[in-house]
Amino acid sequence: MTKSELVSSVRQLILRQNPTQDSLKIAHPAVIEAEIAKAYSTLLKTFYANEINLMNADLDFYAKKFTETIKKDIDGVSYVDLPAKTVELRNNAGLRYVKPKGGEFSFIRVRENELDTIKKLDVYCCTKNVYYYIDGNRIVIDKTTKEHEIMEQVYIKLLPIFSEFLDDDNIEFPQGEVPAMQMILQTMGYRQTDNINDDVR
Amino acid sequence: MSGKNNFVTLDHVVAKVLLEIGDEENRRYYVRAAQWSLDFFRRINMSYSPFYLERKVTVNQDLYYFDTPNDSVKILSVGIYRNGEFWPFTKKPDLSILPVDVEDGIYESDTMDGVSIPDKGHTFGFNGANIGYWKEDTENCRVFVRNYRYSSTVNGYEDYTSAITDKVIVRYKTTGLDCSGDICIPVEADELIAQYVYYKFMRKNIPVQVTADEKDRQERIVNSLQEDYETLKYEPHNFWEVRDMLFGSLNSTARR
Repeated sequence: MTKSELVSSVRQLILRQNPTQDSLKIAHPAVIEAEIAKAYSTLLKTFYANEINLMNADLDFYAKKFTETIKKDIDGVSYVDLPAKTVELRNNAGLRYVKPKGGEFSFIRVRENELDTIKKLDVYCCTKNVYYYIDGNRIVIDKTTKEHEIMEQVYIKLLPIFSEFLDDDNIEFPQGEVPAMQMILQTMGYRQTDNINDDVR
Repeated sequence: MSGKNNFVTLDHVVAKVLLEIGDEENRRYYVRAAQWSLDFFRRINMSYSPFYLERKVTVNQDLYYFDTPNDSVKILSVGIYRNGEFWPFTKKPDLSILPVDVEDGIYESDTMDGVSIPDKGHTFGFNGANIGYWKEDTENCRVFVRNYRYSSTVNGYEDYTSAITDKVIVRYKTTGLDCSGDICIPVEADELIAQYVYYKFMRKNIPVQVTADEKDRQERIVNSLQEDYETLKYEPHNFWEVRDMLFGSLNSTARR
């Protein structure tokens, strides 16, 4: 389901359940979008807080790919701007990968503090890996050899938050759309009702 | 399989471990898997592997020493190549270590000069036909080398080390972890390392809890692989290897 279809679907649900003047205000697309965004990130975080779900996750399914140019700050630290805000999952799993555009180096995702420890281990000097971590709204790239300097651009794949999706982007929820709809309506103060037997009454 | 001939790369082993623990997509445990693989690789190099490394070293022109290689566990031999054959020097624990100043570590030429460095032509160190000597200075991670030759003009032995400073070869037991190049893991150790690291993940219940039974089973797999690895290294496996082991040194034996 595309983003715009999702928003209009939720809007229809609300209007159908509570067709009043107030509903039109509450069911404003901007309000709905904000509520879906909350539900989307809550669902992802809850589902992937479980270690087994995270291990078996096909997170690339929800991800978007970007191309970014590597920059250097005044301290000589290499970085790329984060192209979109990510859903914050455990171990920065929201950032799926960073890969060189036209290179063979392995990029390893770490945390900032973790990198300080890694630098003292054999694995840091004995492998030719590039390490990266999220620092605010940028991705810091730790180049370990001179060969890494030739890289100019990188591919970044990440799980963007809901507002970063475009209207025609496909949105997938981890457990399907039904639980997502329920959660969205619940957070907005609606209880989904079953209207099948309305005629009987 | 990435690697050359009968060697595989570290990344190949790590990829196998990640596949075993089911982390091939997220690669969250890459660093842990790589470090544990390196640790175990170092251990099997130090304790089980019969291989040694041979490397040419550059001897310091003034004090006649070279630094112990970074990846060395134990120096086995120091020598030079002569007519296509390795000529080992004699290990001489009594060879003098040059006195250096405690503060700046620079050679003190004023003190003990005559005692520690024999004058040229001095007969110090003569021992049968062998005229090369070496001594390990473990405290400073270096190895001293001396070479003497008989000079008929002085009718004695003179220090000839300056002539071999760019020819010295060192043979040593290596950790296998030389960070200046790629880590090459012998193919026969590949599976052993991967299964051992997988077992280590299991023992720590990373990424998921496993039963004691599964851990036991994995331990038996690792033990069996380790036994195979050691047997492969030290025992002949077929008739041809037995024959080579028994008669290989005799020139009369027909060679394959």
